[in-house]
Amino acid sequence: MEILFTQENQLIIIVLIGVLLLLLMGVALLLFFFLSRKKIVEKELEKNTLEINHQKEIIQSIIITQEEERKRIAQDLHDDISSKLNVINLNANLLKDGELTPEEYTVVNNGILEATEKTLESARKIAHNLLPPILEEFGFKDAVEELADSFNNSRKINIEYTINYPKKQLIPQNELHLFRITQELINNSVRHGKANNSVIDISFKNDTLIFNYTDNGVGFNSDNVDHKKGLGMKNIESRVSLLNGKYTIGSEIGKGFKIRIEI
Amino acid sequence: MNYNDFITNTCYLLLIINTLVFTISYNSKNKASKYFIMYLILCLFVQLFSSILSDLRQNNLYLFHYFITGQFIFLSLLFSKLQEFKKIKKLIRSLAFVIALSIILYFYKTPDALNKWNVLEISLTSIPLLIYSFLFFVKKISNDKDKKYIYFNSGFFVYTLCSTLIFSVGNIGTRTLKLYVWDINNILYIIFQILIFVEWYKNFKPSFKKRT
Repeated sequence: MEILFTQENQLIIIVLIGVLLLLLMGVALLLFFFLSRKKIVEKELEKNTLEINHQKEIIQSIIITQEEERKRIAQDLHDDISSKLNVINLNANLLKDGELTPEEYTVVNNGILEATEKTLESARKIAHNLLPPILEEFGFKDAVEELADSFNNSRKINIEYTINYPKKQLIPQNELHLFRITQELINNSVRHGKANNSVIDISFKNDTLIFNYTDNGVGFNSDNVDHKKGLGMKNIESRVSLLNGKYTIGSEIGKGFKIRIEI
Repeated sequence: MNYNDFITNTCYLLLIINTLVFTISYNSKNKASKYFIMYLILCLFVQLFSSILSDLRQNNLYLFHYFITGQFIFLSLLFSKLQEFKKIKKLIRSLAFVIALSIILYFYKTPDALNKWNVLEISLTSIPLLIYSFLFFVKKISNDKDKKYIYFNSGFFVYTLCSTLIFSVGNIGTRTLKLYVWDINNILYIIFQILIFVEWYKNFKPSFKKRT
């Protein structure tokens, strides 16, 4: 009986140690939990801050682009419309004052007609640049074709295109985004890339729209962050993110520029 | 008042305070807290009755079976109501039902067993709760927004981990030595109750600053 008691007591002591060990383990687990939670939460916060900063940058670039657009429109209006309207105004005043020979009268009159025609043409061009009517009327495919053709006609750059775009695949707003991206890319090729050839390839596979654009311009080092931070690229980036798409850029100095957008 | 009485009375006091504050700040929108309040009331009743019975020098061990089964049922229901366990809600509920039913049937068939500690019963009711508690931690580790039940769960996890072992040696050993083990249990229980109070203070305290 005595042996049994001591054995049982020993068991109790073992249990006591077990309880203490479990206590230690439990506390260690709690500590681990709270510490790693803190770390995870901090990381998440960091990630969120980064994302917010990125979005801020995008918004800023959108605002800057908007301002530049305004500046451009103001300039266009001033250079093309106002100056010609001035000419018309002067000529009209001449007519009003009278005392003109019939020959002079015809010259002034023709001047007015010519100036009005040019003004109309300029107004049409400005409006067209702001929002190509063809995009709304005939859709994205025709708009890109027309855009490429107009560049081809100007002989600044030769654009080849194969467009396999199911009509109304994107909503009109997104079509406009993609069109603007195309515009921006061609402008970049001409202005910065000094390219004389470029290829637009739009295809549609497995519910994804794949937009490929390549040019043979001077290219840039795509690892260089400065180029990615250019306003044009920022603009493209923000539009791609609005389209919920992904994009990859490939470019090397002297080897042209390549971009692939998947939506 | 000697040391043991002091510990026991502190336990009661904390338990009464916790039950009161949780009941007062009960909000019908939060269904999980209903089960938590039921659990606290169950604890309070078992504690009070067992102390009355022990003062009258009567056996109070059978109350422990009510306590541990009730704890299992209410806490299973509580966990099943939480957002983190939405996917295994049915599993928790059916497990609670099956285990509780078999325990009740067992004691119905063998009433004598009520006066003894039952290791199988203790492990069957504590281990699932410990698993839920652990899963709760795992799910909460990346969630900083909802801190509800995190303090309670911390206390519960440590207390149940240790007390399960303490309860399972209830049938063996001499009384004097066992009292030491019991003291540890009491201290852990006080810590557990303090954490429940912290839980109320941090997460359930009605905010009076709110203006509509």
